[in-house]
Amino acid sequence: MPVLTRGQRQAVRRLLVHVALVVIISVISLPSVWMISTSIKPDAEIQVRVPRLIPATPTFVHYYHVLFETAVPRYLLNSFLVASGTAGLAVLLTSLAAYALSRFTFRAKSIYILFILTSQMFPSALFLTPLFIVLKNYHLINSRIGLMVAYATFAVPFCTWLLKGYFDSIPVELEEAALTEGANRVQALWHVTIPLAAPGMAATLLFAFLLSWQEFLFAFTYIQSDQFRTLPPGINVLYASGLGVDFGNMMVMSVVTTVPVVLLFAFLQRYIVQGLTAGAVKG
Amino acid sequence: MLPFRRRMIPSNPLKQAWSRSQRHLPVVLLLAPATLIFLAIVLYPLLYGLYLSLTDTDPTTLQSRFVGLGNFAKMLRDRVFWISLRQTFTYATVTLLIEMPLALAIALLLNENIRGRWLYRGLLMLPWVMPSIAASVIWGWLLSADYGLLNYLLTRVGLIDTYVAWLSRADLALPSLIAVGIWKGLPFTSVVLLAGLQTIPSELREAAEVDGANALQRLWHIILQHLRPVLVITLVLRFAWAFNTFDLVYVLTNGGPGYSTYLLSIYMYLTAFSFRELGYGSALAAVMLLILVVLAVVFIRTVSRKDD
Repeated sequence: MPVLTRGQRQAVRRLLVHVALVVIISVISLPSVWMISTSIKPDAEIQVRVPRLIPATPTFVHYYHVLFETAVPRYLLNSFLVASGTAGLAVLLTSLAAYALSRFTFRAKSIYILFILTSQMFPSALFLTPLFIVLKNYHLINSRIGLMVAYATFAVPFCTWLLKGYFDSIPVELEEAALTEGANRVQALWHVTIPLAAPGMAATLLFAFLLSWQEFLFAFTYIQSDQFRTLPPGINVLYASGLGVDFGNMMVMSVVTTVPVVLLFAFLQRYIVQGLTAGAVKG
Repeated sequence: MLPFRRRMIPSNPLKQAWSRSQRHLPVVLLLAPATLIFLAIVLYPLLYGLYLSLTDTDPTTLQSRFVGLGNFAKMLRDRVFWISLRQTFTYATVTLLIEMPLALAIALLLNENIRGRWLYRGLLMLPWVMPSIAASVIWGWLLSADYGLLNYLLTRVGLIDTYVAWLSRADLALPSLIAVGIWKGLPFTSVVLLAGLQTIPSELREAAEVDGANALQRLWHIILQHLRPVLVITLVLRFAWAFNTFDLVYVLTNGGPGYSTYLLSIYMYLTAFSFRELGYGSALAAVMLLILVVLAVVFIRTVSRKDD
């Protein structure tokens, strides 16, 4: 065996890491690749004994059907309204609390934080029945507002925690400097802290959007009318109603549900990964 | 940082109380909106749910009848509850046993100083970003008994002779769901572990290398020791997540065939909303919460005691 220099050993090592990662990621991405491949195949090429990765005659017929001949556009709109409403309200309401938790010390603070953290572990199943009764009493079953209320169960604790982390990362000294220069507390917050926290707040907003966008259980249980149905239960209804074997259209629906969040993620990867890991790493 | 700096300390107790309320006023005002929502939407339903577990409640009229611990007594005799409980534990434990080492390996690879790391990480995150309902539908197609890609690939490489009905065989349905769950959870776990790895000072690894520690020794003594707090939190969170799994199972098998993929979350849902027993369903949810809280506390205690 020839003796390699340190630099060569490094190069070989890097090459092996690249090879390993490419193999792992190919395997992990295969389902998504297959989803796209199936979505652009004509029916004659889908349920066949010897499937091809690249369709022989690619077609957008399933896209046309799903986007123009089904209720999917309405589901998309409902999903968009509910997810952006939840995210917007959650960030607006929790940013004040997150600021307080980051900047002030008070006696109940550690209990407050502990409860916020543990509530993320609660099973949705636990909220399912009591919230159903609460919403029913206020006539909020079959309502997008009602669904937003249900989503607050995870969005409020989650956004509070994430935003607190972002406020923590902004040095207090900047605010103190503004205060000594004669600004009052609100001015310091508005002109110094908020602009600095803006990227973090935007990331939290989109993170909450992402979580609401993919929620299934609450949406499925609390919305029975097709008019207000969001995308995840909408897909399930179409899947369960026999369209399940119509894999071309099912894959198009999966694409339609996945693409918006993948785009969001692509723009915000850094922030989302940072937010995702903040809780676990700070522990 | 103190909210308001006092110029002098008042001696009068009434003034002291006033100054304290002055000091706390901003905190109270800032916390009020989120706290009110939190109380109304998280804490109140939580307590209400625990109350419902002690009742028989009709889902149409919402009339409740207090039955004390009756639902829990019923649970002890309920064969389906015990089946679901056992399978939920199997599901969560097997998931973690397979996923954790895989995630650690991927995290170690991504922690290498190579070009295009962010691209690999971004592509890796795809299953996590994908809405679980889309993932379920895709896997329903991949695992299809007649024309599924998995069957095709496995027969091509000669691992199986005939096509397998992965999701409708009682012995294979739960393992198939575990595999799908790992595919969905692996990105999250890897990226969190990667973030933990990145907090290990590189001098430490280099020093160990100079001291002649081999790769396994370095992994054991330096990396895993440093990673322990992150590992503990990730294990607890991921276990809770697996324990609460609903979407995948509901779409792919709905608990079947027979009871072979009944998990507590599925059984709870069917009880409350298909069999229309809101009280018994709430009792099942309460037991899920109890198990998770006890496990988390025991686990974190045990691990932190080793530190002493």
